[in-house]
Amino acid sequence: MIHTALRAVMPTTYLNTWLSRRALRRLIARAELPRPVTDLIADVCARTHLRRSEQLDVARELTAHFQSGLESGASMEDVIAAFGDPKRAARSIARAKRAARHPTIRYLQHAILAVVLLSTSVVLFYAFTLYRYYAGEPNVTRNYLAEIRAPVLAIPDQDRAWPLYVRAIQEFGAIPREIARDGFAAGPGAQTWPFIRKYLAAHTQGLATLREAAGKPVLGFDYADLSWQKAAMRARSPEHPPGMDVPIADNPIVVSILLPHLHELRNAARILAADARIAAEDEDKQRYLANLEAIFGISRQLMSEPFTLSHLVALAVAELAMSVAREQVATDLLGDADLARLASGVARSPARASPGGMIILDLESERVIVEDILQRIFTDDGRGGGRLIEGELGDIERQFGVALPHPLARNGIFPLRALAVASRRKLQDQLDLAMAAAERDQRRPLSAHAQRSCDEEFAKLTDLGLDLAFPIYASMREGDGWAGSLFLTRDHVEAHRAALLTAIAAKRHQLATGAWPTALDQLVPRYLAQAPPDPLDPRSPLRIRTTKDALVIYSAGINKTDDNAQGINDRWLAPPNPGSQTFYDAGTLELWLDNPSTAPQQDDWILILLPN
Amino acid sequence: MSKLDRELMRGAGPAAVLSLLSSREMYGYELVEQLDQRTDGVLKMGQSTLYPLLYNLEAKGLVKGVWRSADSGRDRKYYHLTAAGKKRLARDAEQLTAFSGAMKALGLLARAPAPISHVPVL
Repeated sequence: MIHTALRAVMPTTYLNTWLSRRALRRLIARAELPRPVTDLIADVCARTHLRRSEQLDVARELTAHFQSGLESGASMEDVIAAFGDPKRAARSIARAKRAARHPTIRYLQHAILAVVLLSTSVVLFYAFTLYRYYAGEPNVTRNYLAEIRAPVLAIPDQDRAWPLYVRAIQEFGAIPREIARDGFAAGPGAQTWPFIRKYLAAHTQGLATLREAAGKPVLGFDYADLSWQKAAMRARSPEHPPGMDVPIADNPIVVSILLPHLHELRNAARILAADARIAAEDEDKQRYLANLEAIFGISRQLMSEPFTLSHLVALAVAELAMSVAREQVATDLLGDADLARLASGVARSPARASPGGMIILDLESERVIVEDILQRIFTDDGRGGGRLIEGELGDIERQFGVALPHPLARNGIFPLRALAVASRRKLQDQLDLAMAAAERDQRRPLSAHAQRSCDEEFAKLTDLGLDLAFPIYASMREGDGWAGSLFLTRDHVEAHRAALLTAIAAKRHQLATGAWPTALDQLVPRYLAQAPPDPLDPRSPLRIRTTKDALVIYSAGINKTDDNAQGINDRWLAPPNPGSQTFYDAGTLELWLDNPSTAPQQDDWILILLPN
Repeated sequence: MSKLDRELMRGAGPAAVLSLLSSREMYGYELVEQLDQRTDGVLKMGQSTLYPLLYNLEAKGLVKGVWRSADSGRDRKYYHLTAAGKKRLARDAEQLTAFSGAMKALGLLARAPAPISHVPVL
């Protein structure tokens, strides 16, 4: 009754749709038509799949039609036959009814349909992406830790230096508070110097052990054995119990391999440097030279390690030794034989130069790091390719403590990274290109720094999504340009070494003749195997010039013009913070090398000044 | 005479319905009967074809349907021509006349047919 009243007032409103199928059946039934006819009408209406209100309209019209037909005297069979095929009728009626809808409603329906289809596609695609990301398994075939440990474990115990370093740590014990803050980098004149002198005088055994360790042919540090840290901590801080041992997995990811020995060796070098300065003050040249030889020994041991980071520390240690050596070259402490001994240590550290005169760094660890990442978070199709998967990423993140706080967000979002990360094959190919460029670049001299391009090749790994696939890698790289900085550090050490060898040779000449040399030719071949090249103009040798106060060893600078040692005074090789690893303003140097026009006009680089 | 082919019917059907409605309003079944009888079966269309055609014409605003009670007391939907429908009918008549003239000129027609509105009701 309510339905009838509503229909009377609003015959074709959407209100009728709420009345659903019952209204349709009731309407058809009310027509009191024979069953086959009502079935036909219901069938046609259902087949249209129109809205309920539209179906009601159609049902109403068709019931009126069949009523008219039967009233005209036609038989039921005739009216049914005359109606035609219900399927075709339903299709035609539906098409016509839809075309009759208001355009806005049609557009809205299309838009809703489009949104539904798009949303469904997105959901399906997301589900597929999730499946591909979580269903894949990595194929970890290489155990890099085992590979780098194998040669270490093969070293006879008597040739390994590391156990002696550990003993030295225990022999030194706790570091006094007065020294602990600034460490042993302070030199004579510093406030902590008296404390350093007193402390080292009380630990001569530790110093002797350090020298013995530095004299061993190889370091022999086992990357899987960190048990020594407990003994070290106990010795340094007896009041604080050492922490738990953190077990190292059988095949850990390379980026997780800790190198705590680097800090210890740098510290050892500083202790030896401090004792060398004390020896110089005490005019104990044998101890002075022994300490410098030990520091050079540490740098050589570090250069034999398979990590680029170890080489960086090796360069820093060699630099420290050369800085200490420079302090005494112009004094009367060392005689000719002492200077020859010193020159021998300098020439061999941190490594012997290759025939081209360059220290060649081992960069393979950079390749190993990336390939190890690839084997742990990509599938392996057996042909060098594969797609990004979860793999071991979750475990590695937990290990580094960098996982996203909310697991749902992390597990829901991370698979989408696969859409922006290149395939394993592409990343591997780019890595090969970058490594080849790095090997070429490190063989370019300092003067050709502007042509070094491997950092751009390494940066392309980021473009291909490596940082996205393995976010920890980005934090390790410390920004773009790491390779260029590494090579500049190497160049710096080479230049320092060349200048120092020249200075030692000049001092020996002075001891022999009573005067500084006036040309490098006078030093070759007696004191120098060959004239060292100018680091900024390899076609020319280093330059020397005597003034009334000193002998100046200098480079012609970026403009390659000899300005008679006019220009930048003693900036390049003078460490801003004695003992620190940062020896020069690398940014400024790079700027001048990339754009020579920005370098000062008169820019002879004074490398070493030997006062009369 | 046999029914027209579907393609021809598609063009002629709407014009025929508009023409029938130009004389008076009719309901669906009546339209089917009139088309059959007045054209001697030539424009006979399946009853399931008529209603989609009417809905299309209604959507285009050429006809309008109104529910009313018939003498029998039952509801029927009566269709009548709108102003737009009348204009459309005039245009279709013009085009059909031109069409038949062209066919005659080509020798396809024995004589020019009488306008639809003059076909006698049987």
